[in-house]
Amino acid sequence: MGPKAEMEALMKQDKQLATVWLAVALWFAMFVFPSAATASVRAVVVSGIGGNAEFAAAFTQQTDDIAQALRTITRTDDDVHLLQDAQATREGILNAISDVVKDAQQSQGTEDEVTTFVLVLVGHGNVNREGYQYNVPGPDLSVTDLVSALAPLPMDEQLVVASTSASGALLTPLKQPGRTLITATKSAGELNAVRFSEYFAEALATDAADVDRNELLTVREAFTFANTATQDYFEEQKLLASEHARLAGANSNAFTLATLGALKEARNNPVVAGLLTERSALEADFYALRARKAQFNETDYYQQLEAVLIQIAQLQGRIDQAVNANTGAE
Amino acid sequence: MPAKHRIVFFTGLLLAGVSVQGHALQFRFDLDRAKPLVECDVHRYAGENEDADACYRELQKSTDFLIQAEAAAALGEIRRANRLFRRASEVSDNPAIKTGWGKVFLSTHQVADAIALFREALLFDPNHHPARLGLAQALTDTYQGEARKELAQILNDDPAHPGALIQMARLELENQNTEVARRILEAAEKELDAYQVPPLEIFALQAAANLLDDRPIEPWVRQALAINPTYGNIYYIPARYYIITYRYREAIGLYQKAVSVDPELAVAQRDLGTNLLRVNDVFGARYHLNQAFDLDPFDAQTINSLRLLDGLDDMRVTVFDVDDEDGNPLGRVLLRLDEDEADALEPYVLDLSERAMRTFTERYDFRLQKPMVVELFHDHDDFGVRTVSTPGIGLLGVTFGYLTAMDSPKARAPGEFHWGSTLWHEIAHVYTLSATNHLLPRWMSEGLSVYEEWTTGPLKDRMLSFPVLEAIRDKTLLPIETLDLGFVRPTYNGQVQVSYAQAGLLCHFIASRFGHDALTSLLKDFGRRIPLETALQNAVGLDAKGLDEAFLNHLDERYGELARSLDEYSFVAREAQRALDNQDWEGAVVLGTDLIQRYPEYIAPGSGYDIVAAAHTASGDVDAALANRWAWFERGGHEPTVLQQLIRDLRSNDRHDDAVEVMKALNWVMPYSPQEHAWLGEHFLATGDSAGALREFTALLAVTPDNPAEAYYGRAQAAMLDSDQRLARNEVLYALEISPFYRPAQKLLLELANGTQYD
Repeated sequence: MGPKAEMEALMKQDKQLATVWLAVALWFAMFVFPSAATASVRAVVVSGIGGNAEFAAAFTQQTDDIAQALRTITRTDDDVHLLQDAQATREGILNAISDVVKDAQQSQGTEDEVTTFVLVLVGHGNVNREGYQYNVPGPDLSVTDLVSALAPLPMDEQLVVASTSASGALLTPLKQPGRTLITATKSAGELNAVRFSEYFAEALATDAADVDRNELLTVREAFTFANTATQDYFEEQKLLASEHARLAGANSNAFTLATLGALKEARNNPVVAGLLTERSALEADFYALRARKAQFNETDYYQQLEAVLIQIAQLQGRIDQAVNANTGAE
Repeated sequence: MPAKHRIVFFTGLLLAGVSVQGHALQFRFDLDRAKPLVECDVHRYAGENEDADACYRELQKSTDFLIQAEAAAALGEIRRANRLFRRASEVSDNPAIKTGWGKVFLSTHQVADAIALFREALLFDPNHHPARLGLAQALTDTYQGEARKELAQILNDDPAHPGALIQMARLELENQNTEVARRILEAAEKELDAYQVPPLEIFALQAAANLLDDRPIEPWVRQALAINPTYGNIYYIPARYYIITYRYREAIGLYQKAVSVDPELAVAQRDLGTNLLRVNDVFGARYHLNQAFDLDPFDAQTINSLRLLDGLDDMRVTVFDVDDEDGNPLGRVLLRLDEDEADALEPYVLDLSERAMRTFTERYDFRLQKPMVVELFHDHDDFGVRTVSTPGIGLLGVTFGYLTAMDSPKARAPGEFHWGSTLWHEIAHVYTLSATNHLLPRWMSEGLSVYEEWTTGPLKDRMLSFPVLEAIRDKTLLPIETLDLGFVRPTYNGQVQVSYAQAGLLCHFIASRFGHDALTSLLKDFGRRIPLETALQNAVGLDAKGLDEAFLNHLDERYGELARSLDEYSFVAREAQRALDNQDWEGAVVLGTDLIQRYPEYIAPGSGYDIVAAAHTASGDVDAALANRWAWFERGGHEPTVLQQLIRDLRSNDRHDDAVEVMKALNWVMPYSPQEHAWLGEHFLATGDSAGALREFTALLAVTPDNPAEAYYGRAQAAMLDSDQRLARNEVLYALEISPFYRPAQKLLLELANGTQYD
């Protein structure tokens, strides 16, 4: 893809971005640095039954990576419930979600209000007469279980990632306002073991998916990275793609899944938080300008862009200095 | 129909409600054909088309459904003919009905349906010769062996059946047995009167025989046109024999004459268009293919080619001139690449084309007389249509004189072929075919290309496959005089591949024993139509038999021991694999090393190198595994995943220069790996090679890296190496436009902004 085509793609994204940017900035200030915020996150990450040693090891590794990444946006490591092996049963999952429901309900209106919930299911799934089933040791977790368990969650910001075969079957039953959904397949009919989980975990474990390099990994960035890598895999191997991931929900650009790099290290630094709030204003200018690219002639556009980018770069220099001072890095 | 909206047809057109003109004249060898039809046929055979049409129209008033149906078919009213044949078949078991119906399907290129109808007719009457002849015609293009069987059955019953004899002569001409064909045609001609069929097809095939024998065709042309002044087949039929001997330009000349005699001859318009495309006359091709489509909208080949033309318009065309080291022009290259991969491939294709032109100009003492066209298709079916107007062919590349077309690496799974070596092979064809006006035998053309792949090409691989070694062992290699048959009429599975290798080995033998000049001498002699025996005497001082003998002795000396111990090799290979499976690493190393010593050139998956590397890796001897992989690479190993691992291992051992060599090699087999482009780009930046860095980061952009900002930043750095701050600023802005917080690009932007004034 040449610069023009790339930019057209980005422009499309930007139109959405511009409209949600204020919300992003607000959320950013409130949420990314819990020391300065009233928001908090709970997550449940589950590694389903592997069926063989290779899958079992892969699912364990992938959920380890995902949980580790999510811990960069929770107040404490315990806010991420990682269920693997014998713990990853239907009962274990339902209890973990139920705990979050209780926490969220109890915290409503308090300083510690739980505002965000993330559920990640990695493994195999299938569909029977009752609908989607997530394969875990003992009885499977059914779609009915999931709908019932998630229904009482009071928070407006929820993410459910079902990275399993047949997970497309969840798109309709789990859909609701404020909930972002990722499934590894487009429908119940895609039944092969999925590769999506591997790339989704990679997106969270590295900085490769953070395209704008702002050290905040959004759901959209992680999904785009994993989906592209999955489709590339099938194309490179000259195989018919047996899975087509889906992303549903309007909030994916504003939903941060992880902080990365220096930002991760400085998560409790109020100086950095202040500078980042300043940065968010410049970012808003940048995205707004990029969204209006088509209205400029090329020279004018890049001159204006350059001016904004120089300001961002200078501010970023100050942020990096503050982060380094905090972490003692040179 | 607008080209962009044309439907893609591959197979299975359905009869539609349109009239079809432009079908080739069909002769009816049916003694039972209804007299009124024969009376009309006579007008058609003579080119009196208005009279013929009036005559057939009159027959549509007949009460006989068969006569009505045949008349409708002769008038090109396909749908009506189809309906009438169906109605006729409902009330009669006459095999002529299904036969006539089959011919309608044949005329609309629905061969499978036609074959089914001919077979049904034969169920009614196994001795119905017109049905069997129709079946043979339908089978001719696809299953020649079966066609012969059907013809033999007719001739067994009636040895003088002219229709069967003519078909048989056609098959003999395909094999270039001109004398046999002539005799058959003479026999057929004597029998035509009884069928009231003029000898037009016989004259056309006689002309074809003349053409193959390099004799003038005009005497036959004059006789044919005297009978029917619009008989375009008198040129069209012989033209096919130019095609099978790869003389496309001469074929175009005949097709042009065919359409000037009969502008409504759809197949001639189609083949003229197709062959104009082969010599890169895109405008001419489009005109004639559109003519063909208007005349015969059922022809999948026409539609496929028109679709391809639409695609060609969307490809990126690059033109560049190549000079020798003293600045003298060597020729021009026109490169056509699919837009989505052009950035990734173009620098490599240009580089390799340039090297190939310099190499071959010198080695074959021939300068290109026209621009060379190089096309790479990312869709194998597009390449198939480009080649034979039909998808689904099993080739990698093909050369039509100055035009070479091939699969791009994206057309196949990673590592399935070495595209650099294929391109080198095809460009060698451009030189050898053009230098001789396509007059060199097939073995020499392929042999020289294989020989050049081995000696001057981008791949060091010199491995002979096991079937080749078995052919050496079993002495089943063909003598030089009949080696071409191994390519065009193989008698066992895999003989084509064996013949490629044999031809390459033969050319290599000639060059190493008698000097490369001997090959050039042969090439020049073939171009002057000097027969093989004389050409060999001039080049190597031996006759064909003497050369065969010397060549076989050489092969025995070089490969005999290995060839005779193949069973032992296979046994050791199995034992080595078993040792690996049993985690007997030491045993696997010993056995794998034995395999390597027996056959060091063998670098395919499962080779001794693979065994030894796997055993060393498993036992933790990383250095030994790396040394083994390097030895494999130096022998031409090119399996992409192994190359990628080798690159990683070399980098982690700080052997950066060696890693760069492997990365360069990887590009010739799998140029779409972002990581290696990025590393190579970094390497070129570090070594101050701005052009190399720019090439690699441009390629990186084209292979959709995870983050294109890094590629733009790489290009910015390359521009900085050239002190081109304006370009650097543009590239860094592109990078930051995608990733506004990309630190290295931010630093460069600040450096540019603070240090220099620019617009």
